[in-house]
Amino acid sequence: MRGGKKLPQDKGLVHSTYRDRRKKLVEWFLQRLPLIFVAFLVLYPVSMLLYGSFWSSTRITSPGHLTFNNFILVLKNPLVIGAILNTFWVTLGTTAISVLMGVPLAWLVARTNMPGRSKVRTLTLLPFFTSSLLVGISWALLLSPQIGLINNVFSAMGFARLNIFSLGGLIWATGLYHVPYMFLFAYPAFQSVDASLEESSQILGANVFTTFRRITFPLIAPSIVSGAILVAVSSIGLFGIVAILGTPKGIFLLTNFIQRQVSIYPVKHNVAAAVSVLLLIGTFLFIALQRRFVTKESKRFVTISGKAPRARTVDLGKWRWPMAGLYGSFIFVAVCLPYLVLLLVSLSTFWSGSISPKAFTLGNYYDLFFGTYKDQVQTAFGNSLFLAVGAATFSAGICLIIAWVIHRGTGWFKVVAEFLSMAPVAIPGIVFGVAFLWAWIRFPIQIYGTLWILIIAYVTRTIPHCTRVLGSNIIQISRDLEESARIVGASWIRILKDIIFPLIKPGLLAAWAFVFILSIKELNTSILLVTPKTNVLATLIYDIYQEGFHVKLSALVVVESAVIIVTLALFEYILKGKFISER
Amino acid sequence: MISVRNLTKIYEKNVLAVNDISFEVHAGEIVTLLGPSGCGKTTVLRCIAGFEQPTSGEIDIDGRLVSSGKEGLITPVENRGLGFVHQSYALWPHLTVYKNLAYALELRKWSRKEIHDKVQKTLELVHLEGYARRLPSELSGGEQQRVALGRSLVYNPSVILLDEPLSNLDAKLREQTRFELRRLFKELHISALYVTHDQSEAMAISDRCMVMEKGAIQQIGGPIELYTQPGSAFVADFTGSSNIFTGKVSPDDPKRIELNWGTFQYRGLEPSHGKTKMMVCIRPKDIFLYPNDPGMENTFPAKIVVKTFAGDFYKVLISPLQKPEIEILAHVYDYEKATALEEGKTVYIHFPPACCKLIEI
Repeated sequence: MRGGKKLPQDKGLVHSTYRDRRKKLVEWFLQRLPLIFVAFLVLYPVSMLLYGSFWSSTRITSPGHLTFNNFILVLKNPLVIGAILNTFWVTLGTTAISVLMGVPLAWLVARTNMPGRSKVRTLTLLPFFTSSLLVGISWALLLSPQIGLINNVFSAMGFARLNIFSLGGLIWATGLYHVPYMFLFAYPAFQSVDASLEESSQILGANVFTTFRRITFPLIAPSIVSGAILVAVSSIGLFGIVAILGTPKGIFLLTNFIQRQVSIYPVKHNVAAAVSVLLLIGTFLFIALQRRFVTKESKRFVTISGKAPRARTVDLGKWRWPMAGLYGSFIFVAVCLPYLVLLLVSLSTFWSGSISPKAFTLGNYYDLFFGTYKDQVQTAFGNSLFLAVGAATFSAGICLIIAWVIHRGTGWFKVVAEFLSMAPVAIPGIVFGVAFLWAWIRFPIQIYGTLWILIIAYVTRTIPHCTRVLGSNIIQISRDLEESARIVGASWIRILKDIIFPLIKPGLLAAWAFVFILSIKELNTSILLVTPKTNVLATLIYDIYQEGFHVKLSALVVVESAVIIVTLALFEYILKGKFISER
Repeated sequence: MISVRNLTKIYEKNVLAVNDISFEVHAGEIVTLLGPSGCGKTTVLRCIAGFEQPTSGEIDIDGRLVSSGKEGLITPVENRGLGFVHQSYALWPHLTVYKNLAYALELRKWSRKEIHDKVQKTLELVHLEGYARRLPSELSGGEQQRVALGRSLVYNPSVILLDEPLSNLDAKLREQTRFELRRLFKELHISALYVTHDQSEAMAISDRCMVMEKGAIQQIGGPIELYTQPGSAFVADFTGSSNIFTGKVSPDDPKRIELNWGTFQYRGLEPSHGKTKMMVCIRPKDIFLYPNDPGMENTFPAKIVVKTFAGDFYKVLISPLQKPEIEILAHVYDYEKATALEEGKTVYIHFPPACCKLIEI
């Protein structure tokens, strides 16, 4: 090679114009197709929902005309006003609990020398992956006035019985459910405050508390506020816990009110649509606020987005063990207790709120798989697995391209991708369900009543999460790696296949597993879209719950949770312990 | 061979990165783009590579029009057949050294044996025999740099573009590699366009240098030309430390420049007719310091402000007695002489007229 003039010099990969053009066309379409698809999946149902909210007849299929009446009727309805107020209080309470618990917990793990802090993170985040039905049912079993285990134990000691079927109870259960949510926002914020910033403050004469107040807190406040807004949006749209703890006692929030309109005879699709639109306006305002806040604040504090800041560890001194104890009791109450009580009840022949060792049995599980519930469980189990695998594969595929467009694209194309990938966050699941009814019941291609509508719903709803997981992985791949592949002659598809795909494999696996779990526990949208044939695990649990709290219900919840926990454990192992913590 | 004509690049929000520049890189020539960060030099390189689309202007590579402001990117990046070395090296972390090099040849559908032979030869060329099976993470910075170089040479491109390829190496290795790069490019007879902000690197490596400031080319020329005949204060300053004084051409004698602390004589080109405001530029190495008045022209009494040892020489900062707020940098190579220069002492500073370069404002 020395004296390299002998070899003919490369003149570039000169293709025929036809091949070149065809290649460019394929690229052009591949980059836009997922976006067009998502745009259709989001915008079409939402427009149909708007249209439906102005429809004069109560059924989608009945003839009618456009009218303002629905909104007037809805806003005059004391039930709706009550539901709006209840939603407001529950949202406020949930957000308060999640901030008051999530932020200190995150601080303890991120910034102190509390014993065991490296191990509790995974446990703290566990409720994030559990189904909301589990939270509702387990707290009912713990704090129901009649059959609540805690109530029975404590009333024997002379305490008054608590009632979980109340606004307070709802706030408690939803609040605990959202603590990991807040934790996920606060933890990285605490970690990213560089020690030198706090040290400089102390050098200048500020003590620990002044430093926290004047330096640390202002730096993390944007993340906390932004997390709190997202918790609020999530709790506004939550259906599972409300359905278990609210509906039976006639406590209505907007979500279970909407569900009632659609599933109780006589159905009122137009009323459901109108209330959904009100709910949607609320969540959209919240999300818009959060987006504005994030973009504004992220520009102000450049330092905390730095590459590898070194966070300082606070020595808790003699408070080390008491704090660990406090943390431990949180884990026990919020994470372990719900699982334990369900397990206990599922292994009992009957449940009346106290533990009797003689009544242990495996019969409930036998009944589910081989007895009375065999057919229902088999259908639901099969459907759930099929849907989760399908949605996960589909979602990971299109989100890879969307995430690439968001992080590598330019101009309006990138802006559109960002908006579309985030939009589903602002659409509560139940609203999505109503929108899907309006969109697909009259659609010329029959997908309502099939598994396809559920796959589409799961994919659309998980796009924001999936895109975020993949996006955070793509960010870590330097642009230079793609450029240098381009310059040696690789097309976009080759780069995706040869460079991005191998480097992002762990991210793809994590995104896949995440969508899988979200799909298994999805209830809010499914509840409006399933038919007996397309029943899934979450909706089957809801169906059985209608028959009352009994031991078989608990067994089924345990089965659902087992699927989730096995998946979690499997991927935690495959991804070397980075799945849950780097969600 | 590269030919750039009237290249202009305006980013979103009307940031003018490159302002109407034209130049050529001839076959087998090494040209550097030298300038401070943000001067647009990397943008020029990225426009040539095709990563950026020029707002207006045209770019030819080997006589083929590849980009044009009117028609956009005529040839996409992957079809330009260029070599490109990123500042970060951009080695694919999941591929071995061998695979990193082989990738370009696989895309060109070479046979397995051809690829093997060519990769081995290229590894020899960049002194990486025996490294084929390593992953990039198992290499030192210098080795990574050579893999990046090998990867962009492996398919015999006629043009190679380099974006500050040495800036991540330590000082000593950086200097060695300059020789190595120049030898390699000359041996392969490849056209190289090399972006750097380091003037000594640019001077060492290139046949011609282009000094850029604020999106425009200030001066193009050979390294010696730029150093001895800087066309502007910016070039004078950027091509190495220099003392620059502002003054007026003497109305009595066009060979004299009046500063506000003395009168200078210079030799060489006279200023264009009618120009009166002028700058005088003199390199620190050309300045002489004498303990007593040597009785020569361009000599002024001055005080030594501070003196630091810089390895091969002393750097001495001096202020003329006439104007103590002015500071002049001189390099003293004679250790004995330098030792005698005590801080605070008065000396006589001499500017040889032949070394005083005139710059028009």
